Amino acid sequence: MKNFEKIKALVHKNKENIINHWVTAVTSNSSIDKTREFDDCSTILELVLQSIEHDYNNISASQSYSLLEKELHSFASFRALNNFTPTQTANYLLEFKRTIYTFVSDSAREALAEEFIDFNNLIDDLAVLTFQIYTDAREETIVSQAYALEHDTPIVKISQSLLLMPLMGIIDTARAQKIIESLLDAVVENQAEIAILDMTAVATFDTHVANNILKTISAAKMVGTKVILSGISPNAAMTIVKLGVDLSQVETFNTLENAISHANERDGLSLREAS
Amino acid sequence: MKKIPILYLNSILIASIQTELTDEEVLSFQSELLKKNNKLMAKGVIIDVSTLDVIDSYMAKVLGDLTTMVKLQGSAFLLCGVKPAVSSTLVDMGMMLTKIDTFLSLEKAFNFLTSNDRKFQ
Amino acid sequence: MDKNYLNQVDDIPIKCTQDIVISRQKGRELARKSGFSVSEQTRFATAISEITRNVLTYATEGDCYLFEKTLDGYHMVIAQIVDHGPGIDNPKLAMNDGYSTGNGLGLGLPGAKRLVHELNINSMPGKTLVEIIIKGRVYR
Repeated sequence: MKNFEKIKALVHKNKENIINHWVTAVTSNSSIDKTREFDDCSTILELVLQSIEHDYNNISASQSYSLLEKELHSFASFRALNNFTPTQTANYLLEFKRTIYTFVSDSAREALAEEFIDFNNLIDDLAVLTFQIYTDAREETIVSQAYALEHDTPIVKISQSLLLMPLMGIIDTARAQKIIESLLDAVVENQAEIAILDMTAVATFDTHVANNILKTISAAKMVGTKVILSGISPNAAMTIVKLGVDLSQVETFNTLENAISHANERDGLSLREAS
Repeated sequence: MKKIPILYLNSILIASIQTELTDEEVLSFQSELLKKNNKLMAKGVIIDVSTLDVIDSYMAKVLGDLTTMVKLQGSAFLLCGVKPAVSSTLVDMGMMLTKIDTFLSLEKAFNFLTSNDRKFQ
Repeated sequence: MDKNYLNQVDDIPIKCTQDIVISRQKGRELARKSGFSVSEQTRFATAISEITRNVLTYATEGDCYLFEKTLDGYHMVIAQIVDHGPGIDNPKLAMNDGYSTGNGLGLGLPGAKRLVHELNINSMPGKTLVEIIIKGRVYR
């Protein structure tokens, strides 16, 4: 009957030291928060100890093993979401193995050898599992970010004939296309005569961004909506002039507030004219 | 050959292009519109394209020409109902219909002409 | 352009301006059925319209073939417009904005190129083939 009796005894005896040694090893050259690592490592160690009550062939069916899997799941996804590197993440279980080896005295080495073959396999399984979970979580993040990128062009209806579209972040060609499409759909659906593009949160302003904004303005004009700009930062203003982009035909306002009140005035005017 | 009905209301000429026209049909529509405008001396002409799925460079050129021609006749020229996808397609092709006055709907275009009487006297 | 991988959907002979309308309507319908957005349908149809009109202007008649295919996780809708006219002397030059040997605005080819994901020209006297492709990722 092969089981992990000797390793279990060894780990039990040196528990505190093993955890300390392990945490130091995985946090040695990084700025990772130690208390969290300490908690995580202790939990994993406890669960490994419970799991090795069973021998290697029966371990995957045991309840403690499924608890261990669950723990590794949250362990690895947390690391994927918090920008741990793949190496860092893979290292945890490998370091665990190395740490335990260091606590084996030379004289005990031979007696433990047989148990260590299975133990080695077990930890390798866990390391592979951890890495798989890490990769899955990373991939999921990328997919959800791509989704957010496609959908993060909120449009706010301010009044019957006024829409606001705050632009955020980096505007590349793919996003610009999306922005034009959603703005045009929204103005036509709401029959909005004016749309404000607020540039306050635009990260960088270059020729591409400027051209895409000019395109948006022309396309909106062709469906019958006037686009005004607000919140052009000093940097953006300098870039526009340096690049020689002609925004002279476009109405611009320093703040969103001024743009809205101007739009409302215009709106009032046209309502009075209509009556 | 398909014919586009041209309506006359409150001294405004209104035409709605609802089916895709061949080049010949577009040209015959153009000349018919100009003839009618010459006879009725409308203060404005409104073309509604709210059901047109495609405006290619040819159609865009005809609309641009029509603007100039109608303005030469002394009437205003208004376009309304350009679909969002059509508009962004034209912009990407490099066809900006910037000299045409466009409106979101026939109603808005009509209101614009009837409420600004003094402008067109 | 290996036709073995293509699934031909339609063949529209181009003889008069009515055929331009038919070509772009069928192209649009194919793009719609393949799940492309309204905006992509419109772009594809408009590009077909530009290029089939070139056929009538420069070569008097030709054909518009529509295909679809799936390759490497992309679904593509393809229009191949073929004519047997004099050919395009300088395809590179013809892709420049404003370049025209006819009476157009010179926006046909370069304009169409901006509307689709790919536009390929293979031209010689007696046979000109313009191929336009839109593609979209196939999920699941």
